[in-house]
Amino acid sequence: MDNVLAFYTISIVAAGLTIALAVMGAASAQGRAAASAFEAMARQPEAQGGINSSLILSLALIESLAIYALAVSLIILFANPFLSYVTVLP
Amino acid sequence: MKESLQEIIQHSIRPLFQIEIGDFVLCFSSTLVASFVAGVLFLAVFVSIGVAVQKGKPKSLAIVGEIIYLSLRTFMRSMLGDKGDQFAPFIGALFGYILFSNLLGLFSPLGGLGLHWIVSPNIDLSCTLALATVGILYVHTVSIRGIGFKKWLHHFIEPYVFMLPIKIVEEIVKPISLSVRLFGNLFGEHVVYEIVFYLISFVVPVLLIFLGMFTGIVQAYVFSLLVLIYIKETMGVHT
Repeated sequence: MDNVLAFYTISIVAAGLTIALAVMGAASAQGRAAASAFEAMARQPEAQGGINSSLILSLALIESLAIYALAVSLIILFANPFLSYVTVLP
Repeated sequence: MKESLQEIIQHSIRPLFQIEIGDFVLCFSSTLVASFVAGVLFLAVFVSIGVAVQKGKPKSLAIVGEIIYLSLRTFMRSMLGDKGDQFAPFIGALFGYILFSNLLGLFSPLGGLGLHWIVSPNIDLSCTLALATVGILYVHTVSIRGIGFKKWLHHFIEPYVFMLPIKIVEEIVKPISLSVRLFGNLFGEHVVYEIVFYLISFVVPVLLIFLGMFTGIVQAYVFSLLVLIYIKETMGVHT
């Protein structure tokens, strides 16, 4: 039982750390992308359309990295492939 | 908290009914039925718009249809030049279907009335994986038809031969990344929506509906834009 408890604790901590670290990186990257896009828009307002669409595309691409981390943490929490090894142990 | 995440998943993606044909058991889950519903809604709206356009009278529906088509065509031409017109039907259908199925998820609290088939079908990974597979197959079919089989094979060893394994891995990863992006966004939003709706079901979910509309539109746009970019980079190498 102790094994299982430790396993669950470590899993929860790992899932939390996964999503936290990924979101930290993604947030800083998105902020930087948005800041430079706004800077470019302020400097050249006539290029707004092109900058907008590529900004949305790059934001979605950056966000997808955080989404991958979300998928990994969901797998750790709900479909952990190593759980069977722990519960088999006495 | 009474409603754990596992319960939310089981509550949202549940088997509704099943049909037995001999040894086969076809199980219709709520997301499968929801994907049919989204497709039927999409067809109904756009067939009525198309019929209105074909009548030739400038009534309101026809004008809406022309605005939609013109903006789609402008967008396609800005991405692919004159070749863009031939991909407009597929990309438009992909965008519209994903948009309708994302926006169907906004009505998911109606599941409390027994209408369990009102969820976004994109909270199921199988639906998004099917969409991404169709998109990637379309990309390769179009590029084989457009630039020929030899040139299509040649784009794998572009610019150097030793890029071949990287290119192959890239082709495998493309549908996975497309599908997981759509699934993760919609699923995360759905979970937040359900939890907030469970905790405070008064005014606060309205804000989340705005967020959900924004996410749905942006994700549909990004999905179709990425398929378009894949077409562009597979075909544009030699054109």
